[in-house]
Order: sequence, then structure tokens, then C-alpha cells
Amino acid sequence: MKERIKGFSKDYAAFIAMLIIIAAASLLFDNFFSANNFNNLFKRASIIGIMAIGEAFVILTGSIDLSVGYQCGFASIIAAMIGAATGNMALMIVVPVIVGAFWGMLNGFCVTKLRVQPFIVTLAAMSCINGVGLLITDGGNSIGIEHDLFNRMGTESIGILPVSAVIMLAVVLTAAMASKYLRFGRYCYAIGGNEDSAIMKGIPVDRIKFLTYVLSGMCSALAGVVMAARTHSGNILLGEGYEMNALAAAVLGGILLSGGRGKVINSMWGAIIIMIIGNIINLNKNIPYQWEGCVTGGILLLILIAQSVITRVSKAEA
Amino acid sequence: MVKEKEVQALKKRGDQALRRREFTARYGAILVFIALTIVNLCITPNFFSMFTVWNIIIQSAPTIITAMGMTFVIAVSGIDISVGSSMALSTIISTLMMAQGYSAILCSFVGIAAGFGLGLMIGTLTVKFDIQPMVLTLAFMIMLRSASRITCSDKSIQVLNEAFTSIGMLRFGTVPIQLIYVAAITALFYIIAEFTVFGKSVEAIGNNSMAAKLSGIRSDLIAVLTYAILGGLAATAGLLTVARSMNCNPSSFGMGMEMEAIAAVVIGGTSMSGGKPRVLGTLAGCFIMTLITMTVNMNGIPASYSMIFKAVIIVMAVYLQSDQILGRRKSGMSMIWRKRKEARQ
Repeated sequence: MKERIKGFSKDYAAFIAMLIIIAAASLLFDNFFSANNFNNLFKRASIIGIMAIGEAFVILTGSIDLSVGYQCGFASIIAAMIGAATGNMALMIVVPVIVGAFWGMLNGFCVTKLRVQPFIVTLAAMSCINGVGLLITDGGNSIGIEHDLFNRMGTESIGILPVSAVIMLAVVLTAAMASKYLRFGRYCYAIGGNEDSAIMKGIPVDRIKFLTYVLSGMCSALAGVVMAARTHSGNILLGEGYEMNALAAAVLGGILLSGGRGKVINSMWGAIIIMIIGNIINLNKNIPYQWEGCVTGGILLLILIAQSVITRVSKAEA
Repeated sequence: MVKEKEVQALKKRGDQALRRREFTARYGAILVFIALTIVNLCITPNFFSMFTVWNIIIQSAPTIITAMGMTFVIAVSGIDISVGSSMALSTIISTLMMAQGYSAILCSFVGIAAGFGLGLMIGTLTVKFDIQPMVLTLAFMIMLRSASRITCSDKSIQVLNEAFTSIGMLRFGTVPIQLIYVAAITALFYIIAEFTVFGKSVEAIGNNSMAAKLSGIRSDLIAVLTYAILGGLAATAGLLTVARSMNCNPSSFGMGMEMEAIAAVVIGGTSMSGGKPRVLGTLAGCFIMTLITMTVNMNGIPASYSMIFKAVIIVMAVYLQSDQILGRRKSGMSMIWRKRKEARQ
């Protein structure tokens, strides 16, 4: 029983932390706990949440993808361009995702075939995607989107949940199932746990890694589409810095950067925690907005130290 | 008898591969730099002048100073992506002091000490608590950036202290003062890496931290020191940049420096998984990064192309140094496996 409680609290630590933060914020700030605020919160969290899901798979295999932020911005440009050219909503969603998959393939090719370290590849991809994005928009001009139905996807709500949050939930549930029940998901954990033994067992390590990058590209492109729908425009800078948010969301969700451990679904809670922190600082007029980074980074740091202490204690017990 | 011959052949191939690997790691970046220079001599107008040389040195000096520290951090198989932010914070501390009227030397000293202290903190946390440096410094990157915006309430600071700006502006005839910094710091770190116990210990820790610890190297202390040195150097680089631009904007200062420095180190042949610090390679790596930007600027090509070129060159440079191109993966492991399979049959 004790073991089960321990395992439970480990698996749902991020969820519990989120509930505690929500409870504390509702008590401290009277304008926090309102349908309007939550609606807004989920709209912003869904973009990082979708991105963090793709990132989570990459991290599970022990790699890293730094290019998700610019991939997101690039997808928003493509969505806006397709919108201006055709006005077809289905194309506006599908084509950016395909382009995102293409960037993912490029990353995956460099990592698995050229054997360049993931950090360097995705760092270079960051610069490359930024460059191409600036090139096709004549130096970073925003492209407006006038497609009504598409724009409503980013702003409207179904009941209490915004459409973008519904998209995020769909992605998260699919990803959680895939990581638990599909061979692909189990292989990701196996590779992250110990890559050499995964090779020895005959797991197609390269193919799985390639796939995780494609998946990450597609997820960040989808996030870019949602972003385009929310801001009614496409710009390469829309996703700038989001890679760090996505990484932080995954880490806050308890996914170890060394790979092999953590639940994919938890990165969604991580994303929501980050957004709540920003939200609290915006709502509270006593704290200047510059403090947002300090608080987010501080909480991230505390969680990291706690993780390290917990693993040390559990190692000492064993 | 046949078997022995095969083993010897295999050994020979392995040795050759190792030697080639050593060669590309040591000279790869320098070769790429020479190739880029030759290309530039052919296509870029007005490239062949001392002005260009001084310009490259002036522009790459801050990156070189930071990248030297980064070389050692990466050599102990660490990484620090917070350098841009810690550079901003320590520079803002000294510029704020300077605005209060303190002397330039004192302010610079405090700034560098602040950078050193931040590095010490990061190093202690990552080594003592065994936290992955990548995420730890991510947290610090976010925190320190916000801290530097808080310190000067999000306003950019002007620096008008003449004694201070002269450290970035001084020229002897046409020779910029940055040449002295670059030469001194490269020589210093080359000597540290090649001829001192510290440099050798760094290499040992990077190759196998457990073995280094067991053989009596104070690996924790040395790893922490590399982070602290990087922090101090980043602060120095920040001061040098401000002395030239005379302006410091808290939300953008030093941004992207971490990526530039890491890319330069990796192009220079230092392995991301730790090992020998390649100081001269890092120097060449920094020059390559600056040269690409200059090529694009001097030829009137849109700046976005330089980002794409940089990406391609980074990946190519690292690819040239990886095991794959040497065929070690193919000749080594899979050949042994094939031999075993044949033996079983």
C-alpha cells in the first residue's frame, strides 16, 4: 500500500502541484477564480501544451529539440499564406502540419543519419528555420488572416472550454495512450532508459528517434496553427522563446531530461502551471511584470533540487 | 592464423580511424576557416585589407572570451545556456554602479566578481546536487534575465565613463585593443589546457568522470571551477561589449550569446560528451561564425541567408568530426558482429 501511494504521488506530482497552485491563487486573488480568466488561461496554455507533448516524446528518448519555437512561428506563416492564397480552412491546418513534419524529418535525418548531437542539430535548425521564415516574409512582416471560421478556432469556446484547449486535450489523450499502449511509445521509454541495450534488443532505435522528431515537428506546427488562429496573423517571431517554455513544461511535468522516465500527460500540467504563474503576476498589481521569469525559474529550480534530493534518498534506501 | 591476421587488420583500421578523428577534431575547424577565407577572397569585394582583419577580431572578441570558458565547461561534459543572461546581469550591475559615479576599475571588478559568483552557484548546484546542467542553466537563464530587468527597472543604461569606454575603443595606430585581449586569452587558455594539471584534469573528467574521481582528481572542485571561470569570462565579455556600444539594454543584452559560444566550441572540435578542450579550435570556430556574418553583409545578401548558412556550416562541421564519416561505426562494431555470426555458423 505504501509503495502504491508513493508511486501514485510520483506519477501525479505535477497534477497535485497544479491543484495546490490553483487553490492558493484562488484564495489569494479574488479575480483569479473566474470562468473568464480560466478561459483565457487555457487558450494560452494550449499552445505550449501541444508543443510540450511533442517535445516530451523527444525527451523520453534522451534527445532534445530546441527548434520547436521557430517551427511554431513558421507554421503560423504557412497557415497565413495558405489562407491568403486559397482560403480553404482544411488546407490551412493540414499543410502547416505537413511542413512541420518536414522540418522534423530534417532534424531526424541529421540526428540519426549524420550522427550529429541533437542539441547542435536543433540549435542549427533554430537558426535555419528563423532564416527561411524571415526570407519568405520579406524580413519578418506579419501576414494577416481574414478567414473567419479559422480565426474563430482560436477565440471561440465550446461551453467553458476554448476550442484550442479541446485540441490540446485531444492531442494529449492520443499521446498518453500512444506512450502507454503503442509499441512506439514503449520503445521510446526503452531507448531513453538505455540506448545500448535497446539496440541489442533489436529495437529500431534510429527509426524511432526519427519518428519522435517528426512528431515533435507536427505538434509544434499544430501549436503554430492554433497560435495563428488566436492572433489572426502569421509571423516567425510568434513562437520565439517558446522552446524554453515547452522544455520547462516537460521538466515541470517530471519528465527526466536524461530520458526514459516520466508521463507524457504530465507535461500538460507543467504547461498549465507555467501559464498560471504568469497569470498570477499579471493579475497582481503589486508585483512588477518583470518578476515573471524569476518566479518561473525559481519554481523550476526548486523542483529540480527536490527531484535530485528525492532520487538520492530513494537510492540510499535501495 | 587467419584469425590473427583479421584481428590485426581490424586493429589497423581502428587505429587509422582514431588518427583521422584526432586530425579532424584538431584541424577541422581551422581548415573550414581557411576555406571560407579563400572563398571570400574570390567573391567578396574589398575583402583583402587589414580593415577586414581588425573588424573580424573586434566583432568576435566577446564571443571568443565567452567561448574559451565554454570550452572547459563542455570539456567536463557540462553545458551552460545561462551565459547570455548572467552576462547581462553582471554587466548591468557594473554599469549601474558606474552611473552612480564609482571608478571604472572598481565597477569592472565587481561585475566580473558577480559573474564569477553566479558561475560558482550554478556549478555547485549542478555538481553537488547532480542536476542536469542543461535544465539547471535553463532555469537560471530565465531567472537571471528577469533579475537583470528588475535591477534596472527595464530601462536601458547609457555608459559615458571615458576611462571605461576606452577598454573597448582604444586603438594603437590602426590595431584595435581587442587584438591584445584575444591573443592574451587564447594563449592563456591554450597553456592551461595543454600544460597544466588543471587542463589535464578537465580532460580526464570529461573522458571518464568516475575514473578521474577514483584516481584522486578533485573532480567536483574542478568542475565547479570551470563554471565559475565561464561566469567571470562572460561578465568580462559583457563589459567589453558595453564599452564599445556604450549602451546596455536589459531585455536583449547578451541574448543568443550562449548559442553562439556553444556552436563555436563544438565547431572547434570539443566533444559535447566531454573530453579534450580544444582551445585553438574554439578560436577558429568563433572566427568562422563572424566570417559568415561578414561575408553575407559585405556582399549585400539579406541577413536571413547568414542564419541559414550558419546552420548548414555548424551541422557540416560537426558531421565532419563525427564517427560516422570515419566509418568507425561500420568498420568497428558491425564487423565484429559479422565475424561472430560467421564463427557461430
